Amino acid sequence: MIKIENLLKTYVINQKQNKVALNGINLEIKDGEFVALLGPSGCGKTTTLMILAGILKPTSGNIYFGDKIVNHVEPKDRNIGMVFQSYALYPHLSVRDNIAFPLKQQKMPKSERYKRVEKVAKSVQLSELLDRKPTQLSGGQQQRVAMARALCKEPEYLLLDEPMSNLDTRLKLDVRDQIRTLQQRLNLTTIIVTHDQEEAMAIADRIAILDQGVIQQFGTPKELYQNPANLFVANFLGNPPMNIIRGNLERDGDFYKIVSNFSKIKVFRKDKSLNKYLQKKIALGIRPAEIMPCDTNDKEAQFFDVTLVEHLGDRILVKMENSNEGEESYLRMICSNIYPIRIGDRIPVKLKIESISLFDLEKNGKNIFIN
Amino acid sequence: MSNKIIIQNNRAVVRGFVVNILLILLTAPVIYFFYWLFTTSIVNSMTGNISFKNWGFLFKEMNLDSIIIPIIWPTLWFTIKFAVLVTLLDTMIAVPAAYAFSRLNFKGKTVLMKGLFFFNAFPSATIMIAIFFLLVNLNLVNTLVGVVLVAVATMLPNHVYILKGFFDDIPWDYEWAALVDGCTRFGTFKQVVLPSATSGIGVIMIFAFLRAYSEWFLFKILIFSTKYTTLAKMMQMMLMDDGDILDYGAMTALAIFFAVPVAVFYMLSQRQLMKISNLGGKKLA
Repeated sequence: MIKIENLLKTYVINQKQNKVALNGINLEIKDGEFVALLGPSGCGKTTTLMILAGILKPTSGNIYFGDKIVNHVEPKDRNIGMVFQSYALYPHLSVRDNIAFPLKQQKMPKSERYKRVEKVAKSVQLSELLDRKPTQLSGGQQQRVAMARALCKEPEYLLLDEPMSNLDTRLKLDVRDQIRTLQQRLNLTTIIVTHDQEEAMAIADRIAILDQGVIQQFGTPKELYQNPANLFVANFLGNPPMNIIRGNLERDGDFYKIVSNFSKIKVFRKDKSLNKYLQKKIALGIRPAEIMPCDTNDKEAQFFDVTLVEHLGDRILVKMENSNEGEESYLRMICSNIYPIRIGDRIPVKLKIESISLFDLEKNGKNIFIN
Repeated sequence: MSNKIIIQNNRAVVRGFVVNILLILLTAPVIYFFYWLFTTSIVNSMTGNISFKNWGFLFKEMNLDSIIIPIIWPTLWFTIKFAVLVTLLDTMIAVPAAYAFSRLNFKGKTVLMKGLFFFNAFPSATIMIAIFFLLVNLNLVNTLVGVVLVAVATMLPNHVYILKGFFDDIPWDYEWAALVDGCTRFGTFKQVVLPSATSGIGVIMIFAFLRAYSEWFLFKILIFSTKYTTLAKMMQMMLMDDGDILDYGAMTALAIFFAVPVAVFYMLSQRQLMKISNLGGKKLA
């Protein structure tokens, strides 16, 4: 188990200024869990990983490995394996000696450590490449060497810093599966830092989304996707992104509507608890796939003008708006390609009510439905 | 199609021809210079007879008009010992210093960095008077230790600066990876940083060796006798005070003798020296 408690990290820029990189991180990672730290660049995710590795020291706060505080434990004594974004393979050593390097530091005899290397290399399909130098390998092979080096000392924790960002898209899929399979087989507590949300969603048991040195939300991919805790998470996760409509909440008969300068979106919800947000600034979030075309006479139908249609294979991405003014009023909808939607059509659509998220803009965009 | 290839081939031939002509024109003076040097050392300019009289220092003491050239081997041996000593001392100081400049943040780093640059700007001749008095105060004047220290000190700023560039090129990731892989700080330096900087260290060692090998000025200023004489000092001794050369033949023979080890050294270290062209620039992995 890894526990991070009130972690704070500031960098001194000059005598007057400090830059806050991490502003109170709290995180608990269970044994055998695969956790992703996800966020835009500069959010503090790599800093967090570096502190876990012991390469950086926290300004304040505690790091626990198990029950032990490891704040001042040197990296070499933390029993971690780490893969760097650049892979950081030692250029003067062969692949074999690169992988054996951590074992050499443990003073393991040569024959024994080479035997171990053979075994690990086999598990990541490197057996034929052991005598090469790192520069003679392709990106994918280098990545596997880095993995093998991290795994061969059988660490308790595996830290991955953007391990796939230098691979091409197709290879990424394979490598990601390999990493996941290895992690499951070894039941290894693993933390991956990434800016690629698709990667994080695919590979991790739980994801911590960071922004500006603070964890915005920590949960399973599904939780984050369906119930974003705030506007940042809603905006950040999903591709194409969630539709966000900002405006005032008003009554509309039995129901509610969001009125902005550009559009009126009806919210077909009778929830009394929404009353306290009336006339307040809120934002409505809905995923493109949670909007669907409907009959003209459906009582929840709202009409939009189609401005753009993109084909995504079996589905289409429709960009539409319900007033002609301004750019900000558009919605994106993803629906099946059986609908004959063309640019310029005026089409009835409805919003999947249970999938709507509402964010209180007066409270930093906090999700109204999540306490 | 085939015509095209022939035309292209012709063009390549013409281009190669032009390049070769240019190279020959450019190297001809240099080659002539070496030719002149060699012939002067073995041909008597008065009579035109070939003799190896001027190379006599290889076997015995040579008595010129006003000075005696001793047999050469002890001097060569001393020169090499001196050069090796200076090289080792220079490297031993420059490597950790450059590493510190590259990696650590300490008070006064910027000022010291500018200092490295600034001290490079002075020819060592201009500070020699100050150095002389310093050595007198330290009782090191007229000692070999004094000469070695001064020789190392004058080349250090430059070498630290060059080597810092090489250390800067080593990504932090290597060191971090080594720390995670179980190295101590020193282990990281020894096992990962130093092997990655071998080319840089090689470069400054070559520089140091070549400069110490051709050192004469310090021996002239700081040593009052001929007990320590390098090859370069010996050649300098053949210059008379009015700038005339005592004996052209002996001088050229000595010059060739002086140059041969350097030439061999250059040939052996050529690949290393080519890396100097990368100094300061970022190398791509």
